[in-house]
Amino acid sequence: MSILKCVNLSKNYGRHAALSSLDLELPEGKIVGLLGPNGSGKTTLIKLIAGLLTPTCGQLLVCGQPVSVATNSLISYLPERTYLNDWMTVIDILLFFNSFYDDFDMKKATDMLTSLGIKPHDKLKAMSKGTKEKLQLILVMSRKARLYLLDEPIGGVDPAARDYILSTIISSYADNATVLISTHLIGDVEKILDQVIFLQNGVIKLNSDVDTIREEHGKSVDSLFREVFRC
Amino acid sequence: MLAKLLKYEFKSIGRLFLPLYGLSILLAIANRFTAYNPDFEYEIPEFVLMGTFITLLMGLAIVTFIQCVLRFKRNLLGDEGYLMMTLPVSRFDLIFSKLIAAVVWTVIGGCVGLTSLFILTPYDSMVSTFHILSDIFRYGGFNGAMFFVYMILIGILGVAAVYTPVYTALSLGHISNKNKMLASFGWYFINSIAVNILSSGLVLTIEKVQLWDMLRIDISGTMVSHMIFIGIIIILLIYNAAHLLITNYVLKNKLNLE
Repeated sequence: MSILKCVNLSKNYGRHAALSSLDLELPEGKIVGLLGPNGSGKTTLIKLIAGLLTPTCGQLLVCGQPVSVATNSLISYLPERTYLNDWMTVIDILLFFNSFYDDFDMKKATDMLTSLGIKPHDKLKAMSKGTKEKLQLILVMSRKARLYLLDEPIGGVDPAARDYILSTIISSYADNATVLISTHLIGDVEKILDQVIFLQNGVIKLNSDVDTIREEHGKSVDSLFREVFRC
Repeated sequence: MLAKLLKYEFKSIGRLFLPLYGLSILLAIANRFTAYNPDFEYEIPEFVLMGTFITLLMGLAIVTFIQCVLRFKRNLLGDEGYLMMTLPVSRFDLIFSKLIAAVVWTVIGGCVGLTSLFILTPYDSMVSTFHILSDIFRYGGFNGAMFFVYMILIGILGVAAVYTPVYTALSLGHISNKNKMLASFGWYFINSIAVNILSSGLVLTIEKVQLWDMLRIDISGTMVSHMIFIGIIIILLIYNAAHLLITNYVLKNKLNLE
C-alpha cells in the first residue's frame, strides 16, 4: 500500500510556481531523502502533505485519504522552525502531545529526553534553539505514525547529537511507516536513507533507491547531488 | 477535543490576566481606604493611587482585547500554527476554542472592573443606583430576572461580535502572499462596510414594509421590549455564526502558512 500519493500536484505563490505537476508515490517501510537546493520546493511539498498549505491543483493522498483532519492523526510532522509555546515546560508539552495524540508513547519520550539531558521541568523559554529542535524531534518520533515528515531535522543540532537523532529515527519507525526527510546535510543522513528524491525548481529530477544510485553511478548520494546541482 | 483545547487556552492567557485582576481589586481596596478616609491627608499618594487604578482599568480592557486577538493570530496563523493546525482537531474546534476563551476572559475582565468600581463606590450611591434600576423595571412592567437573562445573552454575544469579524479579517488577510497584516486591515474595513450596508438595508426594509402594521397585532409595551431583545439576540447570533463559518471555510480550504 502506498503511504503517500501525489498526482499532478502544483503549488503557486502568486506567479511563482513552487511545485509543478508533481507525480510521486511512496511505499511503506522506507526512509526517503527529499533533497534539493534552496527554493527547490522541498518545504512546500512537506507543508502541502501536512495540510499547512492548499495546493493550487492536483491530488494528494495519505494512506489513500485526501489531506484533512483525519490524516493529521496519521502524520507526524517536524517543521523547519520552532513551534513550541514558550510559556510551557517540557512536561507541559509532553502532556499536550499525550492528550491530543492517541499514538504518543510517553515512556519513549521521557527515555529519549533523559538520554539527551533534557529535564522535565525545564522551561522552553530558557532553552537554546538546538535544544528546542531536539525536543521537537523527540515529540515527533515518540508517536507511532504512518508517515513522518521531517523538515531539516538535524540542521540546528550539534554534530555530537546528530548520530543519536539519526539512530532514533531508524529505531522509531515501524515497518508499516515511512519517513520523508528534507535536508541539506546529505553526508550525515545518507547512511540511513533507502530512497532519494532530487527536486529542482519544483520538478522531480531523480527518484531512485540509494543502492541503485551507488550501483549505476558508482558514487555516493552526496557526490551525485553535488554533481547534479553544481552551480 | 474542544475541552482539551479550552484547557490550554485558559492556561495560556490566564497566567497573564489573573495577576492583573488581583492587582485591580487590590488597588480598588487601597483607593477605597485613601479616598474616603478623613484621617488620610496625603494628597500626592492618593492622586497616584487613583491614577494608577484608572490606568490599570483602561489598560485591562485594551490588554484583554489585544491579547485575545494576538492569541488567535500567533497560535493559529503564526509559528505555533505549525503545531495547532497539524493536531487531529477540526478547524472549527480550534477557532471556537479561541472565541470561547476570548469571550470568557473579556467577561471576567469586565466583572473584575465592575467589582473594582463597586468597591470604590460609596454605599449610599450604590443603594440609590439599585433603587433607580428597580424603578425602571417596574415602570417598564419588566421582570428583573428576565431582563438580566437578556442582558447576559446580549453581553456574551456582543463580546463575541467584537472578536469574530477580527478573526475573519485575519484569516482572509492570511491568504495574501505578502503584506498579510495590511490585507487583514483591508478585509476588516470591507467587512464593516458590508455589515453597515446590510444593517441599513434591514432597517429601511422594516420601515418600508411597515412591519408592525403588517402584523396587525395590538402589542403591549412589554411585548415590544421582549421582541426587541429577542431580535437583537437573533441578529447577533447570525452575525457571529456568519463570521465563524467564513473563518472556518478559509482555514479549512485556503490555509497558507508560509
